[in-house]
Amino acid sequence: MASFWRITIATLLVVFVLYKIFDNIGPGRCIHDDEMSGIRLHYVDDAVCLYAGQHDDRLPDNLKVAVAALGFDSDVNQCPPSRTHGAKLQNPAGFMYLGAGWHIKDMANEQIIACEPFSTSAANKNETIVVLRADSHVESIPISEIEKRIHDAAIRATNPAKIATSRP
Amino acid sequence: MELTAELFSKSLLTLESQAAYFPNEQRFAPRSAMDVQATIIPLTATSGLGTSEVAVRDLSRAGVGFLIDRPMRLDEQFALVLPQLGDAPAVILCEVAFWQPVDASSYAIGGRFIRILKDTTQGLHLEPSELALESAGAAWRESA
Repeated sequence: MASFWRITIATLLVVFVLYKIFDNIGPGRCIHDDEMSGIRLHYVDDAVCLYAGQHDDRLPDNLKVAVAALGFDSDVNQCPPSRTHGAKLQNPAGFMYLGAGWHIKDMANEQIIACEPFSTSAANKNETIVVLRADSHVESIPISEIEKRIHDAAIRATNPAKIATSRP
Repeated sequence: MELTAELFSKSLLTLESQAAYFPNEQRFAPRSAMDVQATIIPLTATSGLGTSEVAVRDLSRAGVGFLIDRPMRLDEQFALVLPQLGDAPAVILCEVAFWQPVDASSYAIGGRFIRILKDTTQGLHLEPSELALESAGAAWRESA
């Protein structure tokens, strides 16, 4: 009798765990976008590090080469598939890749290797852009923060004297 | 001369009014030749957002073509800064649709407009990004 209850409880636990998993990633559903982007960026990190290890510390010229080295199809695991204009991008999973031409030893820890394109989720100011840094750290940056930095840089770049010279 | 929001809007209005359509033209949007300076903010900077001065060569409702002294990657994003008189500058988010080295220290870039990041005067009107299949920089591709 005791073994019956043990089996029943174990079965219920397995069912519960499976339910939680499929509740998140089952058909028609996705892990939260940021989480999925983070997971994909960790794959990217593995890929570029593997590539660099095989090529004198040099990062690949593009992500397709690096991801292919891992044996993955670079276009799979888009979630949702139409989230970005990935079809137009030539990088796997629609990421903007910034590592081309760099050697890992020359990069600062905070330097960005790959990130989501800025336009991906900018419709909602509360959303974030997920970035992969050179120290393998994956981080979400609020879009509102990036926009503020851009606006600050734009204001610094302009001044009345410049505008005046462009007027007839 | 600097590419301002005013000059930008005027140029696009001129393009509209001209309605210059050539049957052999496969370009999505007609463009206007220019020779002005502009400021861009590459969004791929690793240590803070810096600015770069570029020489704008042409402009269309879909994008902007310019010369810059460093290579830019395909799909690299940048912000085009358009000063406005007495107001904060307008900012347009763009991405590189085309690039080509011109000489050792000059690169021709075709940038596609993505969306307006800031325009307090609401004076800028662009094509929706999904329709902007052809950037102004296609001129260099054709002439290459």
